[in-house]
Amino acid sequence: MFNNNLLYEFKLLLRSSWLLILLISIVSLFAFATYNGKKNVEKRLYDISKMQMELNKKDSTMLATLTKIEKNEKVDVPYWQLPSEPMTIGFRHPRLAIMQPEALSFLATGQSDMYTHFKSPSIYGNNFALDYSEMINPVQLLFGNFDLAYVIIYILPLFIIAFTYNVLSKEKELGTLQLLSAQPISIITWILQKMAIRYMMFIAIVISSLLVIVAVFSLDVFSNPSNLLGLLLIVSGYVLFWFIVSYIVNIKINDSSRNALTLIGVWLMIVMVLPATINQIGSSLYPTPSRLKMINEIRLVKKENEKKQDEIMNSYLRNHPELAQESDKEKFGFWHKYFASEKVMEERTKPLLSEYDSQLQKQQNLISTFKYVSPAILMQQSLNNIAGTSEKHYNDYKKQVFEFSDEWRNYLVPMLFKGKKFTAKDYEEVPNFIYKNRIMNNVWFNILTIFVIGGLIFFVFAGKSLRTPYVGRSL
Amino acid sequence: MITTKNIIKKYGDFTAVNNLSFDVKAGEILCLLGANGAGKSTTINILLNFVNPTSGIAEINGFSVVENPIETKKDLTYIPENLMLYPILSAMENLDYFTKLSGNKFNASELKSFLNEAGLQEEAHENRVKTFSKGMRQKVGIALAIAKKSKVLLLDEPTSGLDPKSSNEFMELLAKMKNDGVAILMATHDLFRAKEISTHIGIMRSGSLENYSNSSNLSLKELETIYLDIMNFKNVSLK
Repeated sequence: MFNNNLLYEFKLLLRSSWLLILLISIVSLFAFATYNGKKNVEKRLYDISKMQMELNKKDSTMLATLTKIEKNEKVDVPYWQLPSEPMTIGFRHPRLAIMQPEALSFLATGQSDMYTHFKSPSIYGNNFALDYSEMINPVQLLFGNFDLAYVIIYILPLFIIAFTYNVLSKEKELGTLQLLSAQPISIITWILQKMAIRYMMFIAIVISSLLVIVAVFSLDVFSNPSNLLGLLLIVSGYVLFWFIVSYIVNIKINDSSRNALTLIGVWLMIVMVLPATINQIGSSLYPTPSRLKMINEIRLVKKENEKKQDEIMNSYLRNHPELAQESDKEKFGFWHKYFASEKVMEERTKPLLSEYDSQLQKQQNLISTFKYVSPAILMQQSLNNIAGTSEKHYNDYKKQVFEFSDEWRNYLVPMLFKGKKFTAKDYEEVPNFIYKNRIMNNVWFNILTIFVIGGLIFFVFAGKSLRTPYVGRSL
Repeated sequence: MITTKNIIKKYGDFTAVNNLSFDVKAGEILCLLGANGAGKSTTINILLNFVNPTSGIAEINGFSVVENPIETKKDLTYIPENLMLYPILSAMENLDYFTKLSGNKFNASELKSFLNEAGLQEEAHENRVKTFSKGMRQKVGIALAIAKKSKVLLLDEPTSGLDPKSSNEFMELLAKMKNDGVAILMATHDLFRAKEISTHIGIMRSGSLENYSNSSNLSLKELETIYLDIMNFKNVSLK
């Protein structure tokens, strides 16, 4: 029966132009979404390269000045900007901490439009730690980005609904169900086969379109076959989930208009209502502290520190005698006092910063816990993960910048306290930031989860019907 | 071939079929007559396992339609009042699809011969069914019965809406099938056709079989009188 159904389902879908409509629509949507995603990534790469060029230019000038200083030639630079001073390097020539996009970053914009991808952690101040977000268009924020993740999560289910909502009810309305039911077959098996065949056709169109479009726009993706396979499998699982939902509605309701309405209701619930509700619960249970208030409090702490700088300096040197040994206390200037107070400052602001981060973390954890309620959330998380644009990736990038900032400071501060000059030779040894994607790829677990969710729903709602050979009431 | 014993079908308080018993043997045609709602179609639906009887036994070829529905449908063809096929498939493709569903496999020339035997003109074989008249679709149904070598044919008002010529052709096909040993149960309103084709006639009213006769023992006039009598139309008669 399966081969017969496969042959005639293919003929029916081909002649009714369904396959052509699906192919054209899916290819067009994928192409447009990939183009959009690539445009975002290209903008990101352009911004990064612009920053890199600026840094290179600045470094060349700085190195030229350094060489002149080392040759005791006259330089046309004010004394507070002399690159031979380690603090000038730390403050005026910070390194770039760049978060390069992944090969599949165009797949999901994720948090990439909310956060910056390059930071220059200066030796002075830690404002970089507070401001990682970028100004974005609020309208775009409201409707999201039209990227591949958007098409896969929001639009593909609508195609599946249109493609499958009346698989059984159409036979009833056409009158062919009577003749079918008079054949020595189980209608339940027959419709299950029809749905399986439609699933195979749909997924073949989706996967082949995805591979072709992705290959046209970026061949890099084939450099990471594991991620690409993960993407294809998670999409197959998500599509299967919607086919299962549609199958259940088909056999339980079996009236075209009611089927369509029910499926649209389920779509609304899964891709809109549930994610929005969970987000809302997250922000109500764990409200993010006011950023303005936090900055204000940090400023107050700073002001207090400034008043007590001498006291702080003494205490700092007591804790770091190695820095005091070779320095003349009388020569301690602004930078010495600044770094001494910076430690105190860090300790006092730590609870404020960690409260902010901890609330955000709690929100994220809540959403992660409830991701099993809506496969749309699971999909979004998986696609962001594959694309390297998840909240986790940006938090880790921030953490890596913090770590690098410490490295940068620890490299230069001892030079300051020891009264060492910065040389052209030192330039070759300055620490440089290299971003590492350290986030564990949980896409394989999510793939398994989505198939398990689909399987459970199938057996709970349709398992019993498999033992019933006929759908009598459908006639 | 077709056996019903004391079949009762109730929908709540309403009794659609009441204590119905009959047999249709190979080479026999039983025509069930009766007004709308008399229980003819419900009887056929029970034999097709589209609905379960409330009580009683319904068998096709010795198999219970409730316990072995798939087994009973192997030897059965059903032609409803308005046989619907896939409009964007040709007659050949529809026949191929449905014969394969019933577990048979035929090549193109065999399928053509079945359609020819059913009286569908050759030039229509490859045409899409959406261009077919009702009579032509009924012929595809008969071709399916021939292809399946069905031992049982269930017909629910198959000639209603057919023009006299198509109706005649259809009756000729039924007669041929009867002679080939097929057991046929036909629900109809057409007394004339029933008398002409059947071996037995049953008249149903309110779910009960009020009269069961051998058609060769009845004239059309007698059949009409009995029918009207059962239907309580005593003072009306056909001229």
